[in-house]
This record gives sequence, structure tokens and C-alpha cells, in this order.
Amino acid sequence: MKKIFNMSFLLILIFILTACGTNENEPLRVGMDLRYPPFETVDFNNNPEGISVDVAMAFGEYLDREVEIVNTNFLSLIPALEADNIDIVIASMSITEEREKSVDFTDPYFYFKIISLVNKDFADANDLNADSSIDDILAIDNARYVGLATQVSATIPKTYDKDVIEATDLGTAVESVAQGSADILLMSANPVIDGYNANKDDTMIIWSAFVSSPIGMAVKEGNSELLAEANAFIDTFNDDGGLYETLSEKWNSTLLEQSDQLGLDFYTNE
Amino acid sequence: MKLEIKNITHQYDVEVLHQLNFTLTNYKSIALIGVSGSGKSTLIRLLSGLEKPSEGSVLINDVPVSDKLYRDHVGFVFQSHNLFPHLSLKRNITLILEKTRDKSKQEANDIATKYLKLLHLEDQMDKLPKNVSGGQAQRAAIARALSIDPKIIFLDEPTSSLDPILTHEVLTAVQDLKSLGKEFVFVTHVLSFVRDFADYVIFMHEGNIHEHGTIDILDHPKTIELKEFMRKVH
Amino acid sequence: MNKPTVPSLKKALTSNTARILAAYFFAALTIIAFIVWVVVKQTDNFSFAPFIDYQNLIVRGVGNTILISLISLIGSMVLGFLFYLLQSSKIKYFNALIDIFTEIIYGTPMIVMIIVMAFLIGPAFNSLNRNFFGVLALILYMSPYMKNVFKSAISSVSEEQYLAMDLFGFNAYQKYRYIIIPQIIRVLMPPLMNNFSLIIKGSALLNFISYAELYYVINVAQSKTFAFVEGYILMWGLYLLLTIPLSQLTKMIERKWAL
Repeated sequence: MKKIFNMSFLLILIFILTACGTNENEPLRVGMDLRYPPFETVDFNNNPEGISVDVAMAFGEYLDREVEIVNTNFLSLIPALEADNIDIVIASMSITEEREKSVDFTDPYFYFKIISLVNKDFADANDLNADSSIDDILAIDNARYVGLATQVSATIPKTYDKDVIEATDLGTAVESVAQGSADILLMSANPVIDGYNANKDDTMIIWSAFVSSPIGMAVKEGNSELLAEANAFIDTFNDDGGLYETLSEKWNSTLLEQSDQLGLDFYTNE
Repeated sequence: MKLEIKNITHQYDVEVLHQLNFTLTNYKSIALIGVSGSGKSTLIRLLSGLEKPSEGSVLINDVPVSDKLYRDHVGFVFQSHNLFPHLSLKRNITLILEKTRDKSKQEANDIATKYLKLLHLEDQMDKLPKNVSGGQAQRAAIARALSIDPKIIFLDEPTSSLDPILTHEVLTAVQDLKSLGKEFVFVTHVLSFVRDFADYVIFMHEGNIHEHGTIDILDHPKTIELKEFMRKVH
Repeated sequence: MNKPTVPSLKKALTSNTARILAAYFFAALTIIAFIVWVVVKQTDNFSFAPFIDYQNLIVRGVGNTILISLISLIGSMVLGFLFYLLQSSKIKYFNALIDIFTEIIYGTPMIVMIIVMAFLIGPAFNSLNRNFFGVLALILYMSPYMKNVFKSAISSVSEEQYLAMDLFGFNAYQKYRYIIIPQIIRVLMPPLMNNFSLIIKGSALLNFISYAELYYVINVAQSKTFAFVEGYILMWGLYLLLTIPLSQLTKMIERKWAL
């Protein structure tokens, strides 16, 4: 009797342990480039913080898995996914056709309006102001666009048949607009606003959005399981007490500090 | 000294000795002369035990040169002073005395100073080899060879890398050493030095001991080759 | 007879050193003036103040740069010595291996080396530790240069010296301790320290794998403060703070130990 009891207990234990599966114990490796505040950045001690970090952590909670933020150069995010270096990209990455060829995106969970940081002298010379339309901007023939390689800031002007100087980091791109070696930088609102704030005398912002770039999470092509989990997670964002609410509470004051136009809703609505 | 060369075959650089045999007794200062490539450098390196012959044996005073006992009582001065470049002239000597001859620091210092003074290097004792002249460095090398109190000192063209003035300086210093009671074997091109310092001359030609005798042979060469050699060197 | 000449000699000497010092002072001033001019052209209100908040981060960055450079220095010395041994080995296969290896490393830019190691070779070994492979890249990159340093240092002890050592009856330990190694170290030091400087400068490339060294942390601080000009100047200054004392030290050692 005892023997049978012990055996079955052992069997059940083994069954439970194997049923737990390998995934549940492994941390979720989330890739992002921590040089894009306020979404992906670090605190004074180089610990990850930001809106995307919070999204990643919330996803971990949702899956009941630990989350490891893997700080990765933006250009290396997709290669890192392909090499299984990371499991998922939550880095305010725009969903584009080009990228869809290499990775699978979730449904969009944010929308980054792409606006313009413009050199002041250039704006004055071409009669541009903060409310000018994108048609006004596109009408200027010899405008020199600068953008970040592989990002929408570089690809969007190209779709309008404009030449783009490619920069490898945000700092260089902003500097070139401030100095006048480039005229226009298209980027999502935050970097544009920060860039303006740092160069108030030399630059200005034109608010009309070129596009509203949908932001999604990316997984390795074919990883349908994680993709489904992520989409299910995103579906919960609009719920009462869902992520949009918690993020707004936490981050609105920070966002509004930058510019009174931007609460979290600036990003959640198309 | 008694010199016995038994059936030596050896090659050093371009020089070749082949089945050389020779015996000599009773002389104290032996000069090896000959044109470049005649084998004199090879011979002196074998005689001093610096190199081992491929075949055959060398005995000096009935002791095989391969014996450690022999090598402990032999001094060698190279063509290019060959002092240890990172040590001062004095330290070049004291290091050897302290580590391989079991002398105390004080003893080593005294001996080194004595020989450096003998070679007129009192003002250069603490300088590095690169900071003294070629002649001074070579004299220091001689002092170093003397400091271990060898019975025989071998000098392999000690002045060939020096200009005439420094050559004179070094050879004069060597002559002053005659009173030390040591025996010498040396290779040189400077015939005046041979006349002043040697009591026996061995003339080498194409790897053989072609002619030998007291310094008389320099003025009365018997073989054509030696005649030619003397004519050229004059 | 002596008195009149000694004071004027002193005067001549001091005026010469004074002249040299003055020359260096004005030269430094010229260069600083140029940098100031460049900076003033770019920003209206130059200020390092925004970076004060990030001092922890920046100190960490400098610390990491030094740490990683030291690790790379030691690693490349060890590997470089191994390369030297393999290259001088009688086994032809080893000689060929090192030859080919060295050719490849010489032809690879350091940044490419880092990327290949961190993103290609690391994953091939199922490793997610990018930093480890980044440092390995630095080590591999510098090893051929270290190998050359060892080669020239060891060959600086001539055949004749070995003969002299034998002649005077030194045993193996004595040969190495008193004659061979002291010489090798003297010849080794200046190029070794130059290589160290190269490593420090090259470590900046590790920012690409997001390692928190100096270049990277300044980048981060710039992304938050947007004080780009000040950031680059600060970064530049901090690197110089590391490399200039090192090069001055190298010069001192070269003078003292030259053989």
C-alpha cells in the first residue's frame, strides 16, 4: 500500500515538474536601446527605466515570467532577435513593410506621430512656421533632410523622393539641424521636442504629422506562441486599470513637462 | 701552457676546420694570425671551450676544455665587448663575482674596482656600456675577463671594431697586464701587437695550421702563404 | 676667476628652461583657444552643469573603461605570448596557423572585430554574454601587436650574450633573473604602454554592444540632457586624462631605460 502511494506521489511530482515546462523558468529577454528617453532610458545609476521598460515589466507580470532588459544598440535589435539573443523587441519600433520581411510584429500599441525639427534660418527663409502643413514642407525643393539610418526618419523622406543624409545617432542628427548643415529632421515627438529645447535659438518645431507611425513589439519570425501572448496582452491595455491607465498616471506629468501638447494619449491615439 | 688539438673537425660561420691536429708546450702568449676565414676565430672559440667541436677533442694543460673545471679558469674577450647592456661597467663584473664565484658584495666591489682601475676606468665604473666609448667598453670587457682570476685569457680580435686611436689605447692596456702572470691566446690583425706581446705565432690558412713558430717567423716566413700574408699586411 | 662665470652660467640655464616652458605654455594656449572658438560657435550657453546629475554614471563609465582596458591588456599579453611561442615553434602547422590568424586580424577593423565576436561568434557558442565576446574581440585584435613586442624584446638579447652567460657559469635561474628578463622588460615597456593606450582608445568602440564604458555613458547623458557639445568635449577631455599621463609616463620610462 505504502509503495503504491509513494510511487504515485513521485509520478505526480514528476508530471507537475515537466508540465511546468522549460519556458516558465526562463526570464523573458526584452531588447531595447536605452538612449531614447522617456520611453527607453536609464536612471542615474544606469538602471533601465522608461515607458517601454514599464511595458516590458507589465508583460512579464502578465506571463508570470521574470523580465531581463537587454540593452541593445537600435541597429542591432533585429539581428539580435534573429540570433535568439533576445526574445522580443519592445523599443518603440515602428511597424514597417521592410521590417515585416524579417520579423513578426504585434498589433500596434502606440502611435508615434512623426513631426519635424527644422533649422530656424531655413524656416524663416522659406516662410515656415509651427503650423505649416506637410505639403508646405514638401514643396520646398532643396530642403536637406537628415534621418537615422534604418529608422522611419530616414525612410519617410525617401518615399517622397527626397534625399536623406543618414546619421548614426540622434545627437549628431539634432546637431546638424541646429548648426544648419541639415534643414529638417523627421522624428517622433519626444526627440524633436528635446532637440528643440536644447537649441531654442537655432531650431523650431513644425507640428503637423508626416505619418502616424504605428509602434509594435517584434518577435522572431515564426514565434507564433509569443506573438499570440503579446497580442493578448496588448488587448488588455484599454481595460479599466489596464496599461494605458497605469502608464498615464505614472508618466503624464513627466511627458507634460516636456511640452503641454503631450500626455500619454498623444501616443495611444492614431 | 700545453696545447693539444686532437683530430678537430668543426664549422663556425664560413670557417671550416677539418681533422686538425697540433701540439704545443711551454709558451705563455700565443697569437693566431691569418686572413679572414682562415679558421682562427673558430680555433680560438674551440680552445676556450666557448664552442664544442663536432669531432675531436682539445686539451689544455692536460685538462679537456669541455670540463667545467677548465671553463671556470678561463677568461674570454669578444670582438664586440659583449657587456651586459643594462648593467653598469662595475655591475657587469660584480654580478658575476657575487652569483657565480661566491664573493660577498664587499669582496666583489673591491675586485671590480681594482681591475677597472687597472684598465684606467675609474671614472667610468658606474656608467652603462652605451654611455662609454668603444675603447672603454672593450677595456671593461677585459677587466671583466680578468676579474674572475683566470689562468688563461682568450681575446678574439679585441680591437677590430675600434679605430686606430682606441685600438692603441686597448692594446697598450693589455700590454700592461703582462705582469699579472696570466697566459694569453689571442687573435689579432695588429702585427705590431703580435711582436710586442706574443711569444709564439700560429699562422692559419684555409682551415689549417699552415706555419707556426716564435715571432721570428714574421720576419722570416718559410711558406709562400705566410710570405704573401706578411707582404699584404705591411 | 670662477665667480664671474658661474652666475652668468646659471642665468643662461634658467633662461633656457624658462624659454622652453614659455613655448609649451603658449602652444597649449593656442590649441585651447582653438577649441574654445569651436565650442563657442556651436552653443550659446556652454555649461557642464547638466552633467553633474550624471556623475555617478560618468564615473562608472571611466571605471569601466579602465577595467576593460586592463583586462584586455593582460589578456592580449597572455595571448600575444602564446602566439609568439606558436610562431617560434618547430611545428610548421602552428607557424602557419599563427600567420594566417595574424593576417586576418591585421586586416579587420576593430569595430568589425567587436561586432563579429559579439553577434556572430558569441551566439554560435550559444552565449548571450555580449560583453565577454566584446572584450575577447579587443584581446584578439591586440594579440598580434603584443606578439611583435615580445618577439623584438626577446630577440634583443643577442646570441653572444647567451655565450657570455654560459662562459661565466650562470645557471638557468640566474640567467633569466639577472640578465635576460631585466633586458626584456626594458625593451618591452615602451611599446607595451603604447599598446595599452591603443586599447584605452579602442575601448570606446564597445559602446556599440551597449557596454557602459565612457563613450556610452556620455551618450546616455547626452540623450537626457541634450547638451551634445558639452558632452563631446567632456568625453574628449576624460579620454585625454587617461591617455596623456600614460604617454608621459611611457616617455619617462623610455628615457630612463633605453638600451
